[in-house]
Amino acid sequence: MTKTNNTCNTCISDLTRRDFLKVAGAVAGGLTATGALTNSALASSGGGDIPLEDQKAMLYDATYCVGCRECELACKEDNQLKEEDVDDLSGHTFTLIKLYQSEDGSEESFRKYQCMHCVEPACVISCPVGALEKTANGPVLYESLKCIGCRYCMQACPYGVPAYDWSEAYPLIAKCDLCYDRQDGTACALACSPGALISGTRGELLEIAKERIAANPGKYHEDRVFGEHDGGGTSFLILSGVAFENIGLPPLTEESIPEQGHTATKAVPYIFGGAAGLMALAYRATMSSEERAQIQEEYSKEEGETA
Amino acid sequence: MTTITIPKIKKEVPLFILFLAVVALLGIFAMGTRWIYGLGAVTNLSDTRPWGLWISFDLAVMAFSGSAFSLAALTHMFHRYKYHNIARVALISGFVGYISAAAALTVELGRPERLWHYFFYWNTHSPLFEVGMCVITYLLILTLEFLPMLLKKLEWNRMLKGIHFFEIPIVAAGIILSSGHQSSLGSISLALPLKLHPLWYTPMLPVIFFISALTSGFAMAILVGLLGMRFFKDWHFKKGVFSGLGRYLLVFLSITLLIKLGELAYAGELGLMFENSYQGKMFLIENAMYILPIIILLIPKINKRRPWIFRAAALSVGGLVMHRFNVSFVGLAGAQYYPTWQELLSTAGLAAIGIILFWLIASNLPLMEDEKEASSQ
Ligand code: SF4
Ligand code: SF4
Ligand code: SF4
Repeated sequence: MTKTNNTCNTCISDLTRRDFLKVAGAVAGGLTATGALTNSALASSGGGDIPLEDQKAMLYDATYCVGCRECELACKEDNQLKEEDVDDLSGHTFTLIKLYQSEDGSEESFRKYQCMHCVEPACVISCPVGALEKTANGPVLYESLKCIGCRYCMQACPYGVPAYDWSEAYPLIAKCDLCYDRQDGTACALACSPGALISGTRGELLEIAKERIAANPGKYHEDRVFGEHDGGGTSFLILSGVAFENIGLPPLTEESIPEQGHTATKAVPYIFGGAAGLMALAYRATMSSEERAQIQEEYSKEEGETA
Repeated sequence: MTTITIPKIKKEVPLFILFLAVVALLGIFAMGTRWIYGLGAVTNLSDTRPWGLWISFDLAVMAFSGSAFSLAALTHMFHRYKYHNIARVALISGFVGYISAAAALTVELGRPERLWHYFFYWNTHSPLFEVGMCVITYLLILTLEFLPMLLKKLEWNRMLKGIHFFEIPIVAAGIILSSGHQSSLGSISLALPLKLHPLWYTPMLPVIFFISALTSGFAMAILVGLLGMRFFKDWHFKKGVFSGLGRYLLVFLSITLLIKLGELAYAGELGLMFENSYQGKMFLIENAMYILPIIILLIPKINKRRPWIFRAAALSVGGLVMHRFNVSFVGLAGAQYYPTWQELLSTAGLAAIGIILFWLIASNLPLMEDEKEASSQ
């Protein structure tokens, strides 16, 4: 599988050559400028980019889900995770079915929790050592050997996905990998008999979802698919009969988190460059001619002492 | 540090330092429990509250270790030589501050043994990567700035001269690096728009982090300078140094406060602080600790008197520490959290180690020696 390092899609597309020259001019050799360079170089030479609609994805239709939890079992088996009784994703649980019930009991729905495989993942941009990576085919993968355990990914993920086995003295992150090494789909989707969970390409799944919405007006919340655009889009798409926030989905705008923080990251080289310039100016400007002479004198005095 | 012992090391150890040594040992013991039993066993951290006291401690310590760069800029870039001695004191406190902050990472990280990965696996888009890189290089720079004092003590004059030659570029690089990472520390929270309370979340966070670190740099220098004069009989500063620092403190405190509140007003969220919530109250306390010193420093006679300057400085360092705790803990959504005794003890131990280190350096190296040369103008 060819992997591209599109950690920050906006960077690659935003940084036109003119932009890049500006940045590079601001700090010759500044950290971020070099980073942007390697990234855009990667993007142009890679050529292995798979269009979003052809990437691997899953669709979860909560209205079909009966809560049999066969998917949980299949995932445990496929990933050789130990059995445990938890009510949140954990170091040994990549996916979980939870039941939501409204207070008066009139409304209920299941929700499958797992990594959403965001199109522009917050976890990937956060990780200081690049242990999390958005692969060309869609899955967001974790390279355990790189991880230093800063837990920024846990903090940054808007869905609260990356988890630890806290009983370990030197733990590693655990999360769903969209069964990236399976050609036949995902283990959990294959185990789902009611057809609530299907795997396929993002394009075909979106089509199925939209057909269902069109065929059943009013059945689905807001008549839309969660994840088509939310938070910049996800590869795990959700159809729900109840309000998204009721099944614990965060209120995201269409802008991804990396995009939101982007302006700030982009400003860094300017800050560096600007600071250097200001420093030099201040150094010259606040020095009177007498002071200059004095310093000269001091230095020559020291020279005399050491000689 | 053992090499300093070659000429002669101070023999008498004050009681206070002995007490800190006990705290440090207990702290190391608490850190040991984390290395053996793990994070889950000795902390109250969880998947929804992955950062706790250690991270807040790091943020706070790194912020007031900014004293090194505020004072370096003032003395060397803006040529205010009367601050030369206090700048050296600030340099040492910044140096030990960063060392204890870095030491905290050995318990905070899930895989502390892999800290070196920072050098090999780069994600240049991560604010945390920026912070790490800047801190590592900045520590090197601080060492270089600190070296002349050591070399002077050891009387290695040729090397001393060599370093002197690079003094200004080194100082400038240090200032730039610390400006960079102080603001990147603020960018860390930019990735948490859903979690951080709107009282603190703003795109201006990097700017606020930078300017408040600069501010507390002056406050920290005042604190350490005045406290140190009680312990070290040979410490002496030029007249007007502290009231001068007080004036800078006043200016920068006001700027910080203006940006913080101004941004909030611009976003139309000022009302949030008067909501009777935990966060609202913490925000009010935090900002009271900015406003009080401003008032103290505005009163004509009082702002020239050392005890009051000291109080104002202590308050503003407190306000800064509160801000960092609020951003990394109080204002962050997540599971209930309060530190365990292991977390508290190890944090106290790390702070104690920092202070002991400071005492060792300050009582053995000629911090004040350059006074005559520097003030000859
Ligand atoms: S859901 Fe969380 S862990 Fe999964 S890709 Fe998105 S940000 Fe990363
Ligand atoms: S905990 Fe590991 S994977 Fe997560 S951000 Fe830190 S280094 Fe990256
Ligand atoms: S896609 Fe694979 S790893 Fe992810 S929840 Fe389903 S079975 Fe588990």
